[in-house]
Amino acid sequence: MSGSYWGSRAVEGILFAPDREAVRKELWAHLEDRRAALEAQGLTAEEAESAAAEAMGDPAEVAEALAKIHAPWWGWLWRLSQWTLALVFFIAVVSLVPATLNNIRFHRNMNDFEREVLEEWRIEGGRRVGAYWFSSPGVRLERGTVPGTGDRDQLLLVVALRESTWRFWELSDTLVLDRTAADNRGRQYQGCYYREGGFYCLYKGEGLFSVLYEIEFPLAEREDVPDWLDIPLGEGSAGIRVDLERGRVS
Amino acid sequence: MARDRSAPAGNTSMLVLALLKGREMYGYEIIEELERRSERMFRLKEGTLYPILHTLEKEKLVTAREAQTPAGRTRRYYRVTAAGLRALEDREREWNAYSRAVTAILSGT
Repeated sequence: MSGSYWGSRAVEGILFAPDREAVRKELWAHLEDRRAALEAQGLTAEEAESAAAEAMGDPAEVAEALAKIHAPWWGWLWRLSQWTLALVFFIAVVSLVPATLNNIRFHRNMNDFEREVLEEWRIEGGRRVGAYWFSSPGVRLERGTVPGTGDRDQLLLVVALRESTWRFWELSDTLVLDRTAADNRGRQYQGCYYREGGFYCLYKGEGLFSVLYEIEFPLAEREDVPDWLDIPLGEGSAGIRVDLERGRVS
Repeated sequence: MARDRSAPAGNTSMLVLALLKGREMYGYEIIEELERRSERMFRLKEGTLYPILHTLEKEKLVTAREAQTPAGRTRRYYRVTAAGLRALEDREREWNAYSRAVTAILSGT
């Protein structure tokens, strides 16, 4: 039996990792002292290591005794905290990576559609609707291609909208359907039409707890950019106001 | 009849406390000292010393500190506490009473 096997076996019942490591080091030092003493008596290194482990006794018996002394509850709590941490890390990765990718895509998608960004607004705040929280990472004024049409020089107001909820199983990928949006000038925009006087909602992907959409409003002139937009949500009467003038969602 | 070299049953912790009464020691030293002072009469399975030491530490009868050897080994030095000395006195009294009783029986008095 090797010394390292004996040491590992003797501490395997100690669940609290720092404690286990400290005891393992202490036992290892003892084994090394004994091995050195046996070598000094003329044993080979291999014989001395084996004899040192033999002199320590039954590692299972020592393991059982050490496990009883070294706070098993604290050890289980330690294990539980490790599992919890691993779970939190997993959820964070599953949630944050797609969200980060969405954000990157939000800032790069003008390349997808050959767009030029003319102006950007940073939007803060949000609005709670039921169990959902709606916020906007930003609004952009772009010029370029409209997907599905031959138009390559369209002016578009692109409103990014994030829907977040802890009820991840109820996230929707059809936020805005055939509804009507309105602005401060009294203009109305009909949903699902990629033309001036309409708007189109693009599903841009999701994290575990959030979905990102981009709502594109084709505009005729740069002067048509409104101060705010009321955007309808889902099936009910709920909606949010994206205020470009104040930089807020309400 | 083969000689029993295990430490007296249930009294190993008393022997460890007695050894630590003089000075602080690490585990390997305690084993060596136990053998030397008992003139090789008592020989522990060396690994079983550590549950005893850790129990004494948990009961605050000894304290421990760590130190590195020049070879990089981590040694834990144990020192008896005031509570440990009181516990040792109690166990010495019990042992002396037990020992006198055994001696009395063996001597036929």
